[in-house]
Amino acid sequence: MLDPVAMVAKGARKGYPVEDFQPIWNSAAMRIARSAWVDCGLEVFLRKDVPYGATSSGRLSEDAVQLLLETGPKNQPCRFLEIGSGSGIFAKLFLDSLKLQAPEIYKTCTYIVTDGSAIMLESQSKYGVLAEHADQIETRVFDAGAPWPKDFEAAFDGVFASYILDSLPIDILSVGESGVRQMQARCVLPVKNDALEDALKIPGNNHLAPFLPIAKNLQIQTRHFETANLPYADALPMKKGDDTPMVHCHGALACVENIANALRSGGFAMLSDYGTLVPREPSEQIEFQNFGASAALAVNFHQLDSWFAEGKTAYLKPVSEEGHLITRVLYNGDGSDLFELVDLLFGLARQQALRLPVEAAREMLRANAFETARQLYSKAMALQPRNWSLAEEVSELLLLSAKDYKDAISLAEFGLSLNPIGPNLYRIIAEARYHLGDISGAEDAIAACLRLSGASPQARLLQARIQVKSEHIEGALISVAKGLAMDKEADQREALIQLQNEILVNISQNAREDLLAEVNRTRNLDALTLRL
Amino acid sequence: MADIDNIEKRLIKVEGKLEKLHTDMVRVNNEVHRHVTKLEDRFNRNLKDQNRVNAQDHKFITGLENRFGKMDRDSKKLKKQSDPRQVDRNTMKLVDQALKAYDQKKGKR
Repeated sequence: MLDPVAMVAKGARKGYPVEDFQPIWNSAAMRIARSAWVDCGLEVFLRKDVPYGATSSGRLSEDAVQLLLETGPKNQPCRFLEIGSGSGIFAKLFLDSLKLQAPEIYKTCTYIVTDGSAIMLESQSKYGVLAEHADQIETRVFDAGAPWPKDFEAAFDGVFASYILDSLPIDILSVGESGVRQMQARCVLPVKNDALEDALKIPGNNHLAPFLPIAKNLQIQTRHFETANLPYADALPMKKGDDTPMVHCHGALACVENIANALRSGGFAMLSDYGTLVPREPSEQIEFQNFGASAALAVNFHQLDSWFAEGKTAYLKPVSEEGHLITRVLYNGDGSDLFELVDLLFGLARQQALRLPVEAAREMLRANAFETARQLYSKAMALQPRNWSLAEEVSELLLLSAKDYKDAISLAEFGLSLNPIGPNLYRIIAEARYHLGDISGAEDAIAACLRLSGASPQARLLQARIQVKSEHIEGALISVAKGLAMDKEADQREALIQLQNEILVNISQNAREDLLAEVNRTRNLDALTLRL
Repeated sequence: MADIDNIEKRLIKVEGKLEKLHTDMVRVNNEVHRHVTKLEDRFNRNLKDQNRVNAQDHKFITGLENRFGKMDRDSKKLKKQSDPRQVDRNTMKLVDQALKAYDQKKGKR
């Protein structure tokens, strides 16, 4: 018999499966996305594929120091652990701030910087992110999702986890009166790919990195299956009402338990991540966030909050909050000691005080009200004077809108003192020096910018302009070509082509003038002489 | 005598005519009265209807006037609000309120 529903749904089955149905975390799309971290260094941060400015701007690092000082560390020397350290900027700014505020603690402390990727840690070292704090730093390859080593137990006065809980194992479930059903997925490709099918049969993810370029072509077919063996099944909600999707963050739950176990008496942990605070609606569809080639899923803080509310380690959250960057604090001591500070640092009042001036300033910039924007940015900077990400945004205003080139340079240099791997800060300095006529200084700054982020079309455009000024025409044309090749979004294409045309017209004009000069070299003055 | 008889007859005839005339007049009068009363009733009814319609119209027009008045006041308010200087002032006010709320909270610690 004809089934119209099946006829409509049939189209979703198109394509060649590269695997069988399995939990979403083990699907080809997720495994290949995880392999992206294996070979990557700081480039993902330098290109801003991962918005690390949100957690490594300096604000959270300063907050962590404030929490540490509030707890009045009982153990000397202090030991700190950071999991999923990524760029290393959080650690750098934490130690900067600690050195300034509590030099006696800083002098003897040890900060263990960990990451799941050895290349990431090597990259931190290559770019010298933590060079100033070499005596305090230990590095270690450590996968926060794997079992935690014995020597981490009750070993730290501070544990920091930013943007890592969203990369730990999850399940997507459908929970309703009919029970708990697990979403399972299989990936399909428009054309058959035997090599990928074979590679997926081998356990592990590292060998999947060569398939990253085709990952965007993977389509995900999903089905829901009843399942009995879910980790942390006690952390699932009661089965009632309509079938509702939920992210079951069992990896994050296990990791936070490990973090709690890693705290010394009086120790605290600060967990910051992108996440949701309320249960999903039945009509919602859960989707992954793609950061470059990697993928992450908003942490279900609603689940974490319920699970840890009654734990033996104090789990502190503000009374009210907004937005998607959520922070929680674990404290191995009497939670009432820290609650007020947690509420102040991560609660609604501060979130609004930090957000509103910046948002209003951006709005004013759109309306060309530069001076009001400057006033608002001043207020924002007064609250976060050591936030390099904000310093970058404001120096861009000083450069482009206010044309205060010297001030733009000073502020960008200050930003670089906080975050030495900010390519945009170097670009701002280069552009400001270019406008001030300091071409040699501009060349140095743009070279530093390109060393960090050679794939930036905006930086290539500026490099070409600087090269035109220094009459390095061939180099300018090469820079334009590189910029065009890298400008996949076509943001700078028009400006690059315009500059290329100007350079070519200039070349033709110079050649014509040379030719005319050569052809007309001999000048006969007889006619004039005869008249005389 | 014959003349008297004749006269009486004629008198009676005239009387009869007069009575008939009177009866007719009374009937006509009654009919006219009834008709006029009917017209009066109809007029009253029409008047009532007209008054009711007028009252409804009055209510409707008053409502419209009020709404136009409100629109007029709102548009003035909106014009004032959309004035870039007012937008700036409102934005700054919101920002200052947020900063003050945070300062107060910080001060309480």
